[in-house]
Amino acid sequence: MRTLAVALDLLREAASRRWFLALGIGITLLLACFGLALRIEVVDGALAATRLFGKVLDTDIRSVDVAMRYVYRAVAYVIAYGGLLFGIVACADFAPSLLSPGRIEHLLALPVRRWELLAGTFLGVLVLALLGAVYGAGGLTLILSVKTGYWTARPILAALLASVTFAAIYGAMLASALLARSAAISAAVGVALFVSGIVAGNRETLAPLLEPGLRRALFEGATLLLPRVSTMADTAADLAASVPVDGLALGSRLAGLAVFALSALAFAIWRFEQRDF
Amino acid sequence: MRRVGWLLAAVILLGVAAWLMARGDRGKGKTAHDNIHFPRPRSRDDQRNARRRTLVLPPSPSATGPAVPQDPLMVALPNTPGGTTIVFEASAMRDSPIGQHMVDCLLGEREARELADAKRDFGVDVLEDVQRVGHSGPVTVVEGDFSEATWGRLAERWTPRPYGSSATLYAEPDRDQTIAVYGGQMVLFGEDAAEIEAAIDRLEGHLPPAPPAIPDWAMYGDVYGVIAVDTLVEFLQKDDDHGLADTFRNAVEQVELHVDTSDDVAIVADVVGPDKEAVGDLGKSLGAALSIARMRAQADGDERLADLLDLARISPRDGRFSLDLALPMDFLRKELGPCKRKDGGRAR
Amino acid sequence: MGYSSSVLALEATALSKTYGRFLGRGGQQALSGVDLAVPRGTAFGLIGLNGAGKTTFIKSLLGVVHPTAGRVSVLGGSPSDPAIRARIGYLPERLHLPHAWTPTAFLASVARLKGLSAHAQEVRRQLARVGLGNDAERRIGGFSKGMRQRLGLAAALLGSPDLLVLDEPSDGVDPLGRAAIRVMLGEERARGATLFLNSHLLSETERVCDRIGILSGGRLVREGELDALCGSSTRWRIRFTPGCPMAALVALGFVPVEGVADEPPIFSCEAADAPVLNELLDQARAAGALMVELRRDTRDLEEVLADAVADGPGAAA
Repeated sequence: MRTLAVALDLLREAASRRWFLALGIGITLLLACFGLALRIEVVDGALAATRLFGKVLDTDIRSVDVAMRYVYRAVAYVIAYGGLLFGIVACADFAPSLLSPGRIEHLLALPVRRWELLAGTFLGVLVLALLGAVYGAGGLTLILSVKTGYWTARPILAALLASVTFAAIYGAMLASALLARSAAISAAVGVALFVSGIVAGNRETLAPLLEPGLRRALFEGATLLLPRVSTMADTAADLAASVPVDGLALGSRLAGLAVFALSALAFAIWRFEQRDF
Repeated sequence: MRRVGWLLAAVILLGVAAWLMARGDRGKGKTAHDNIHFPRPRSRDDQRNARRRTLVLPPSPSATGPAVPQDPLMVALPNTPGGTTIVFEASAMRDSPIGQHMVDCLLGEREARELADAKRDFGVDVLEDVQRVGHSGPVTVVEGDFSEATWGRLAERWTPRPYGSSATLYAEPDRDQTIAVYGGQMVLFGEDAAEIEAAIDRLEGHLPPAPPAIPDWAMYGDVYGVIAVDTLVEFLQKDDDHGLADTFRNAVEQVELHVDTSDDVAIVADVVGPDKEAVGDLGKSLGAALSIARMRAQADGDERLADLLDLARISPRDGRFSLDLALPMDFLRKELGPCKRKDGGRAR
Repeated sequence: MGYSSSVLALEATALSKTYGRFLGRGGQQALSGVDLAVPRGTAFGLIGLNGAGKTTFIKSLLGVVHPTAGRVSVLGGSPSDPAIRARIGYLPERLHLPHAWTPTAFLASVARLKGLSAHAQEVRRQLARVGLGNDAERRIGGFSKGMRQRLGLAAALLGSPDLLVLDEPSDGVDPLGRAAIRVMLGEERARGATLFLNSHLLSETERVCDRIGILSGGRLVREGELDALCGSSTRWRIRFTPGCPMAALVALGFVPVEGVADEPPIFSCEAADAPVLNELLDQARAAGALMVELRRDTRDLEEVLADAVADGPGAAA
């Protein structure tokens, strides 16, 4: 299927971009450094002592899996928020680059449907984001699991959750690139959606702060349509920390994010189909 | 037309997405641990303690400033270094799950009869009138509202004698038991009459002031006090697979205890000892024991206990450590044994 | 035009394109009612000044631009049909190439998107044809403009397309390279492919194409066979030795052509066929004129273009 071919080409292009490679190497070095510098004493399944770069860390003595939950919670937040922001900035250029003069005419003259080009770009970026998130989360989880003897895949689940959130944001970025072919504008749309998504995740708390009436109605209406970025980050952290999560609510949120992404993609395809290049 | 179809799809999908996300916007439900409150110093406790400082003792000759009001219960309880001093906030515990369980125990047929007798004979409703119960060394003090109580029936069996300006002592002839009624607010129990008399002397200011058995800053929680090391060692020796009892005896000087009973029982114990390293090692051993208990609970399928043991932790600080431990009511009921209500029903 | 659609490589009927319209009004008209039919197997050259609408026309053929009005048919179908585009090879004027990729990787990517299976051999073949066989594993970022152009041509040739649409194919290529490209295009024509060229290098267009179309102001002002547009089948140009009897020659119907000083005089004449031409030459020799050069009287494409642009819309030759 040509959508997959377009996606694979995007991944090849990303791999050929030196700074992606540099980032991958950087993350690997950080993980290796962290792994070598961290010493954890586990006595009968309890986290007895922790040393980082030779310095003893003030940690409570408790079951190692319980102690690790706080670490994994922090990791999940870093991946969710930090990973999202990084993904927005790093991937902002792919769609504008696709539409650049000389490239888009060539691609459109090939036997590839317009929607396949967009869908392939979208898919390629998602896979890239997923690989990055899983690599970071997986690497850290592996190090901590080896050190503590407590093996869990939950932080990787959290990374998957963050990737679904990124899908929603990138869908909007892709659509914006069709309206204005600019990596800067695409990134700005992504950041704006990221911030407003944090607000949307707290809409039930924030709405009562507004006076009842038009303002509150507008706020509730606008945030109803936005992806709940902060809610998903909290859920990712809860998952990583082995806190029970309402499965139905989570499923609904995930489905909502996925459908939001599809909606943005459909809008982008509509715009793409009628546009001249 | 096909192009418009994409726009239509985008709008419809956005609507569906909004609906799905709204469905997922359930308020954050209470987690299993929301009802666990580990006792920590709170201003509410400070205010409660301040309200209780109603006893104004005559100033000592060497005192320079005005007399500071004292808590009469703390004055009555003797200071027994190395011993156990503990206070139960009965009024707070009465409505707690553990309190209800203990009430159910008290409402067993025999116990219910005894409580009814106490009310009939002395005008004291044990479940309503008692506010605090303190124990230190040989003396147990029950503080409450006994203004309506009558002690005539007590005098029929026990030999009364007045003591001090407000107290009456009752001694049981065949047993080493002394009961003292102090004013309308305190009843003291003990085996040693001299200790009971000393408590009354302290209340009336006849003895020089002594440091309270429990300092003000340590009076928080529904149960609080200091546990004697020997008492704890005895408790630990029951199921001691790790030699903890011996380590305790050798390393620990004092264990300060605080308990919250508002829902599942939450315990905080501060452990101090002269040898920082020994105390540190004890903390690690305890941490390991808790971890094993948690694994055992998980293996036995006791999810609630395992869940609460998630919260168990040892926090080492400068050669001492504090232990946080939460115990589910089901576990406590099992340990304390079932109780029957007066009407024959099982305990809650 | 008299062609059936089965023999046409492409056909445009009343093709118009206006950019920047708002609610159906205003905008800039790039194409205005262009009618064009290009038979299969021909080599068609589209020429015109900058801004004439050539690129817009080419993009309309490929579905890159949506016509405002009119119809376009390519290889018997619509350019929006991927199956039709699979049979087209396109070289855009400014092809964007990924700097960090090798030619092999780039062509393999194009081959995959064209749906070509087992494309490795085809990729190697086309790279060798365009003279990049030895640079197959070099990064494209280090290529010269000519090398990049040849790589783009290789991409267009992948899969032996039925229609080659080439926008400035020789741009930046050295003369020998251009010659090589002409050979390749000839091979493609011999295979049966139709060529559609847009080039500012009119000399290259003259050498490659046998049909020409001239766009001016969005209109097709001239269209037809190259010979018909540039020359006359009955007009001849003859050079006589110096000192020839001018009056006698003029009387015979020879028209003097402005020549270069110190050069033998040049005349043109009309002769419907070879016997008439030879009769005229016999009469000139009888009058004492000696012929040293004889050829058909044609104009170069530049002159044709200049005339077409100056004249504005007119009947095709």
